[in-house]
Amino acid sequence: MADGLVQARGLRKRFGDFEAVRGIDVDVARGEVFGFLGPNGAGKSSTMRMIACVSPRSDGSLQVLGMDPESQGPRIRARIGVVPQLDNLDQELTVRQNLEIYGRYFGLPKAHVRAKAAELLEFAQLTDRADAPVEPLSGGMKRRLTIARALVNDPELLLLDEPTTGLDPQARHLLWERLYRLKREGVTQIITTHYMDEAEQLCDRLVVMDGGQIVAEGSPAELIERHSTREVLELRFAPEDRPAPEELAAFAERVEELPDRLLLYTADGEHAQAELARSGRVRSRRSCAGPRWRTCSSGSPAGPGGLMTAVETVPRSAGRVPGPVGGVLIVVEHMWLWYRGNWRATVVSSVLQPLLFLLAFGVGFGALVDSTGGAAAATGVCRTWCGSRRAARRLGRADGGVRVHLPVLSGFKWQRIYHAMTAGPIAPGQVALGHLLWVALKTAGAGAVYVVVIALVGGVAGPGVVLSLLVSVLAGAAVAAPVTAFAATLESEGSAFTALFRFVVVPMTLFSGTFFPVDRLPGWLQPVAWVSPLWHGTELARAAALGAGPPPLVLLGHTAYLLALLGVGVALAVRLFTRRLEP
Amino acid sequence: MTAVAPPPPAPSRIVRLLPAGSYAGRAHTLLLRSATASRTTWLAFVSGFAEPVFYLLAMGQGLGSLVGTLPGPDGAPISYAAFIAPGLLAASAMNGAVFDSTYNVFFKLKYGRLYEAMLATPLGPVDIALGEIGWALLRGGLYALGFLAVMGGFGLLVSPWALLALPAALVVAFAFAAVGMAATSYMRSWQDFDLVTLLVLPMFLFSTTFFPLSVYPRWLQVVVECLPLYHAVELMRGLTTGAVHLGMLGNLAYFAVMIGVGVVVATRRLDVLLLK
Repeated sequence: MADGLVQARGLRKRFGDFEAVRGIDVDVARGEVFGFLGPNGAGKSSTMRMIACVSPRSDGSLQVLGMDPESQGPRIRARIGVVPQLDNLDQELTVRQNLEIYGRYFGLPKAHVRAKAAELLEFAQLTDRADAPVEPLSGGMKRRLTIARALVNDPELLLLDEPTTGLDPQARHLLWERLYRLKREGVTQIITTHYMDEAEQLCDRLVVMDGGQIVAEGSPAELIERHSTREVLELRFAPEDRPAPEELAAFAERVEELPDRLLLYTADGEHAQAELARSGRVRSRRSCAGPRWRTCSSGSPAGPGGLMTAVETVPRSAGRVPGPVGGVLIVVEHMWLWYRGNWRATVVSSVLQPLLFLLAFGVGFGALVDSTGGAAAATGVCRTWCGSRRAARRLGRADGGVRVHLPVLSGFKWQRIYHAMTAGPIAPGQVALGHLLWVALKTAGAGAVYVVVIALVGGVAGPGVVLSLLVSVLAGAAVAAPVTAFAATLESEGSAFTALFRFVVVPMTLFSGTFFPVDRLPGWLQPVAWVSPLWHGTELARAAALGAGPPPLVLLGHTAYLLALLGVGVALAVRLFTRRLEP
Repeated sequence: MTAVAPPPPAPSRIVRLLPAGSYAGRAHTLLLRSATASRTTWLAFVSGFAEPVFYLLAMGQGLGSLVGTLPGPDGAPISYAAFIAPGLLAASAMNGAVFDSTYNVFFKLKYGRLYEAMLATPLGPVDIALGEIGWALLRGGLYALGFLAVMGGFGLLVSPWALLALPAALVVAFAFAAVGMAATSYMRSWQDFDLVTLLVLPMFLFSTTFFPLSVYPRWLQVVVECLPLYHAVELMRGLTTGAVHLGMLGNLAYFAVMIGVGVVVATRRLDVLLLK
């Protein structure tokens, strides 16, 4: 095997006590397409990772391109191409950039990767999507891009780990066609698969792996010859008519029982079917024998008792359409269930964070303003002290309100829970309302904890505090509603939200009278406070807690502003959720 | 078209200390990748400049009018804005570096499987660690430069020593990025990031960023003096006000240790996580 690209002897891979690969010998010659066939967990991928020099072997010897992966990993990797089992394309780059940047990892010059990328886009039939993001591509397109990416360094050896798993038949054939082309160009390929038909289509030679060992070896034709029959007859029966496999043993070389059908391995499927019909066991109207390995799955011979017609009577609980409020509550309940498993996140952001701010600005600043003295301090101490207390609470609320975007985004994007909800009888608007109601409830809960803490350290207590709690829930919801609506328009957690947070939320938080009275700001900055829901909320909460403040008409104005913002936000959220979730 | 990927350079003596094949000398290609990726997120990138400026405006202008002046590092009174500006500079270096090296790295590690793709190329874990830390640094450096310019505009830079605040910010960012990346390699889920918030937020609030050490009782002062951000703020405040003294070398040493420990742990952990 002087020309062997890969040579393994007694190759082993252990993960702790588990041995994934148990001493295999493999030789792959230049120019051939070599396959590892076997079920999940057979040790195929572990072997591939060792050959790809990203997984140190536990025992045995391994040579790839005549070098030892242990000491020459980067040099070997420079000359091979890897197509992993799961696509790991760079989601932050476009299709073309994925190819170009990957080429740069190989140290290829800029002009070269640019030309190579154009060539590979053509190869992968993605030229018209070149400057599109990767995410919306179909599974087949992503797979082709991953293969194209693996070719960017013109590899001598291409490793493909289950290249077509999960693809539809069309995408699969297109991929096969591309792999033939590579073979014609002389690229050595190692492929893992659990489909015999794929191995047969692509491989010159293959080994069958099971339980970490090689159990058979040869060309696909030899293996089929040795281990299987030329054809498989597939029979489906209604459960009560299904004969025992032994009854059919005379009609085939081997009978395999699957949950929904029987497979008869035979040299001539049609003949066996005719025999079966003649024996009266199966009255056949349609042919079902397929050429070779299990490529036939469309057969449906009619059994004596008809075909798959049994309808069992199962007691059912009929689904009901929930009322307008019921649907919202179901969504809230869902959120609560989720929260129970993830409460830690909320405790830190909703409770600890405002408390830390309270400590910093209440105690730290209290001391500072006190010690510096001066005319300003006389009122300043009191106002900073009392103000910061409310301030911290406000800040927590705003922050909580703003943070709704992440769960919303993940509801749409990653977990698709909203889609699951609306696939049932719940309306998109109810999802939006339920979500907001949940935020309000959470705000109230965190606020209550906060109030208790303040009361314990000897802060303001009394009926006003309860009122200020209500106000803070209103302010929190008024922030959360428009943010939720905004989040419903986002496609990804890209720059839009970060920018919104830093350009809008941060200034509205800082300049809203939370840390110091608004009149301390230069005149041109004061309008920032006027538009900030936080300022209106702070004014209200402070008046409620202290029992003194601006005249009622002004307080009414603050309330009206918050209610208006809430109303607009809710309307927007409902509309945008509906637009996003309706098919 | 023929293409021969150039073989990675032979490992130098220092690199031989690391596991074989873990460094291809191409960390800069990760910078290229990050720069290309940030083209689509430029708005978030730009907004990073704005945040500390808003803080400076709000705290310096608003609170400053309540507080008046404070004693500076050398005892001479300075305006409140001049007091907090170096604190904000240090804090933004910390925040940027921590964000880049924790959330971003975790996402790429767990969900994007980006590093897996990189390791299929000649790149090794050391390239990845250096490349990612380098990007966090580059970004942090640009933000620091922007903030220093704003400080200059407000007349808060009174000493030529302030020129050194930029490299100092880079050292601080490097240290936090290295330790952040090492910590990220131990994280199992997003829940663990609350611990990051739990460490970073109190540090931001209490490390003499907004008020001097003298407001604390002695025992609490000792605690604060152990925090990394405290040393960063000391460094910055000394440089921007011109009150430079030899003790600042001690602050620098603190970060040198953080960098050393962070880089070694991060690289080794990436090796364990990715090359199993």
